[in-house]
Amino acid sequence: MKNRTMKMTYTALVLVAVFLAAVMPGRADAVVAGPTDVTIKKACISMPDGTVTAPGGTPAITCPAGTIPMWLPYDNVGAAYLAPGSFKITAAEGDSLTITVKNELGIPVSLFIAGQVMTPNNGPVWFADITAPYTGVTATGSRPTPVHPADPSDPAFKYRVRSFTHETAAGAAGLPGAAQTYIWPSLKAGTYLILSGTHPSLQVPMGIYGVLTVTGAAWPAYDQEATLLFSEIDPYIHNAADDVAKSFPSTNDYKPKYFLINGKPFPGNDPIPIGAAASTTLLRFVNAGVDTYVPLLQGQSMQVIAEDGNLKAPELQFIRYSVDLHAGKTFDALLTNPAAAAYIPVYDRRLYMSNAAEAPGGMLAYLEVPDAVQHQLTVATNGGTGTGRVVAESVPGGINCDSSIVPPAPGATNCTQLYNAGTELKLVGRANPGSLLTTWANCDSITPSNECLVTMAGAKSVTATFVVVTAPTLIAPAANAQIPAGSSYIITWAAPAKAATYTLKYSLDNGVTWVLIGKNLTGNSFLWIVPTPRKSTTTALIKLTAFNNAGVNMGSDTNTVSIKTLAIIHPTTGDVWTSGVNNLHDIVWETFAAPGLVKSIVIKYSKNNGASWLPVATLDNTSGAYDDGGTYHWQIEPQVGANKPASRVKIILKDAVGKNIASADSKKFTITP
Amino acid sequence: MNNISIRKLYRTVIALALLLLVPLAAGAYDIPGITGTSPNPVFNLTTGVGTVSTGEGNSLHMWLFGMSGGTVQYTGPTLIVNEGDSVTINLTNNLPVPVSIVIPGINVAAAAVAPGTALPGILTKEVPADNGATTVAYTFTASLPGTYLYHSGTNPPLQVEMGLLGALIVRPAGFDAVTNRIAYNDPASTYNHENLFLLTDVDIRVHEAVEKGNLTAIDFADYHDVYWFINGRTLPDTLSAGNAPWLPTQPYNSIPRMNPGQTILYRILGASRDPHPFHTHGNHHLNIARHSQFLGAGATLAWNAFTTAVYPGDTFDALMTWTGQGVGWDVMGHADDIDNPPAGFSAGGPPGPEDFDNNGNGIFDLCANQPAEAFEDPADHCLPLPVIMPSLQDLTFGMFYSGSPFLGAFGALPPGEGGFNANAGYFFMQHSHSEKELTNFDIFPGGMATFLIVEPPSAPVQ
Repeated sequence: MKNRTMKMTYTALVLVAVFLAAVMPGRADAVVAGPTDVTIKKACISMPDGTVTAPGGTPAITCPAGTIPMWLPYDNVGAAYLAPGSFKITAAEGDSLTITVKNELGIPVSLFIAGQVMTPNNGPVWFADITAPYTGVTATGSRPTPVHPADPSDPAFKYRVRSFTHETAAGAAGLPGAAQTYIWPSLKAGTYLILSGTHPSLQVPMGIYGVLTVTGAAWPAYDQEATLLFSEIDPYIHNAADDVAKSFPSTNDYKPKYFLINGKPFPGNDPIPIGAAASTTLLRFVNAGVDTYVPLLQGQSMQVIAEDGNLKAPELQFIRYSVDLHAGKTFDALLTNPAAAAYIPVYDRRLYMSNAAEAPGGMLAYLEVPDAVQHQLTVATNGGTGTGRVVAESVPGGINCDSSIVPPAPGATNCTQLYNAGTELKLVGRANPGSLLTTWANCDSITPSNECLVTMAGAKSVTATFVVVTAPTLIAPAANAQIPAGSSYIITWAAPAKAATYTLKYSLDNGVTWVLIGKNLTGNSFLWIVPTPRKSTTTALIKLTAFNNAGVNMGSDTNTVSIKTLAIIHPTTGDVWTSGVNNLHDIVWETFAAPGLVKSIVIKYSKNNGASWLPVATLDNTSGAYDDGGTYHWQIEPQVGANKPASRVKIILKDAVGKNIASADSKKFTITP
Repeated sequence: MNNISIRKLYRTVIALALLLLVPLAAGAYDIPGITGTSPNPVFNLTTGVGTVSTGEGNSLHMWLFGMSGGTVQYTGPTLIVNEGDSVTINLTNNLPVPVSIVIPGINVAAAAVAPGTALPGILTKEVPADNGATTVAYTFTASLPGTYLYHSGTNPPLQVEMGLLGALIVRPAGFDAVTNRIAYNDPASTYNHENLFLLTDVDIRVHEAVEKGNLTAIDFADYHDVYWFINGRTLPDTLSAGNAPWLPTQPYNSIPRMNPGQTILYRILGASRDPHPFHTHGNHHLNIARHSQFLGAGATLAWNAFTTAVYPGDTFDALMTWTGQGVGWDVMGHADDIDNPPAGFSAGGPPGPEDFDNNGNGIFDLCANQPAEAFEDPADHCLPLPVIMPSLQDLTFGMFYSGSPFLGAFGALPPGEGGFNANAGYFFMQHSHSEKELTNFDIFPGGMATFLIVEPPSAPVQ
């Protein structure tokens, strides 16, 4: 039976894994590798691509508009900032690790690694005066002994810990101070967080964090590894902390807006290669952030073998598709790569998947099992006079491009990507304020929402054209659009850059009276519940008005649309229908109402131009068969006498409670005996 | 004295119940849902706007799954398949945004049904917002038995919040609804009844923004839930009947019921953005699987807990068993005669109401000779109530108190009290122990709570 086979296979796999673990030691790196000579410096990061740049000004402490201040380790040997996720040190069990730190921040910093023993540790460092935490009196090691231990107001009791370990002092006026060393003489195997030990509630989120991975002899074998480091950025705290001359801000009201994996949110991140199909990958999950995240693998499960660097007993190495990654936690898990080239989405199941108010974004990344054949996509956004970004909003991301201005806009520099052959992508244009996406070049197809679909069957180059918008412009509904009554319809628009808020209105009487759809709207789309006017076709005016920050009217755009509910196709002018038993004629109509609105249809006819009506049929639409309209085969009851050239058919759409939704009379036609 | 007369009443009721007892039918409660036809079950689902009621009288605008042609519902239809099935979910979409389906723990393939076109999305292929014109087929093999969550993979912070989620149950290959009710291919997962606990919550600001049409004004980094649900209902609606006509979009209730000695399989799923500490007050539950991974042959790695932290995306399978062991008194009210010696036959007179003759041989028995119920621990049998019950004037009453501390027995209650305990069972609250989640938008009681009812043997659970 199938389940027994699978159980045996699984048992066999576990046995093989245990055998391999016993026989083959884990890979051992003989040398400590990674940046071990760093200076903590002020830096600037742009979102959502995570690019780090040096601040400007003299002294260099000013971050350009659109970037967020960070405190980052700078690799003195490689001469580069270590963006969040790049501060990585690897070693083998038993190695001795020394990190040398200098500090330009103007306040002390330190390092510690939770789970590893630092020797010597000459901390903690205490400070005495909460109003002068960095300039007042300090003590090192134990808290000073109180002179009067029974007196709660003895000055000794006012001391608080500032740093867990010995500090690296800052130099003068933004210059590096003296170097300090931190030594862990005998490393334990596993995955660990390197963190600032000074005022960590502020200094860690500001960027002083990294990852230490240590191979261990007793660990199971794997072919490759990937680290997934989770962290956040609250721009408000970063801007407030930026000026170290002021007292540090409290992080009680910590409200992150950016959620990062390896220092970048989606769509600023590239797929993470994890090696060949069917090989074994060690995934290292680390959380340097302040909140709990739940990284979840889409469509895959992994075997969690270690927690906080501690290898679990084999029977406790459970298989799961997610881990409970609390602040400061590390997990190690073995993943058997899929059997063929693939992308595996990894996302936070707490759904922190936005960048400020923009989604999708945040903690979403893709593991890549590369195909033997890959193709490059190149995107350009400089096809027109306007500016904007193109984002790949589909598996596996990798494009976040604004090439319309030089130098590239902060946060949008990823314009090329290699993809597995056959990858299907959806490229979305996000116009900057004051621009509008008009056309694409070289897409395989365009969706009704103006998104570009490409399939990577070969190298491709796609160009998006943005044009400058000089006046408020309604995009959807376009002029003369037909909108189904009772539906949900997304109205979209573009406006000049200075527009701040918008008002939408509609009119059913050609502009005499206006009904408000929404006001004080921001963004550029709105979900409108289309009314159901009690006529078969209603001409409506949709008006968009834009206002600037001061509330000044910047202009309007009005489109004429028809809210169509019902149209009778036949009978119509010129139809001559014979009555009688052997003659069937098709009454044909179209309905434009939201599915489920129309529950019954009443058909009548008149021989005297509508003075009186005779029944034809009542149709039940509970099944929805007539939602888009229909055909009724009408056998006209036998007529005598003259032709009736002023005949009409009436169709009435009724809702669930029998109320008329709309009705229409056909054009005049002739009934003959 | 009051006590004696009350105890006489208890015994009368119990005796009557025993006399009227029909043989216990092997009733079994199954989680309501849509059972697919093996080995290739097909489910036709659609999406649409629905309104959901909360216990304090509010209505929430939601985006929901439903069976094609039916009413959309919260939570989505519970899909039931068998191990090894090749499952197809055909999804159409009547929402103004694209939707999709992902199932953590299962590798789901997605392809449009010709002539439609599916849109590439951030987690999987999506169904466009075209009023049902396009169908996308989500297919997978249900390789492992267990409990799974399905939800939209499109803009999850918005769409999961808006209600696009449901449960999937995969029954093991050896399962038989009558003779072999197992959750996994292991006898240690055997149960009598099964109940679903699909835990969700709602941040009303998101629903109000969507209802007003302002989809772009929502900041998903700023999350603050104010409603908490089990199976799509808040307390007290969790206790109403399933398919209640006044809750047309919320067909599932949550009332786990059992008779003593039975076992309920709790399928617990966490679909919200927050973890919830699921608490089975008064009893442990035995966690036998997490993420549909059975914890050791024979459940040797299963663990007892009275609170399980259900994280976002988690599924747990747990066994709830209740025998009255350790309650501290004989829950069936077996007890010695109050008179010692018995007032009736040994004093030479006729037997009194407190004298039992269980085997009908004319000899009236002491408690020790009364047979224990099948579920009873012998150490509990005949344990008297360890306290003297205060008189009615000295008690306050909960709505579920039957008037008697004994299972299946009613007692006198002041006018207006009681009435919510149809069979004089025991009620144990099953709830999120994050106590603020016991409210409906600040109104107490409410939220993520329901009750386990241990019904007396005289009221077999069907």
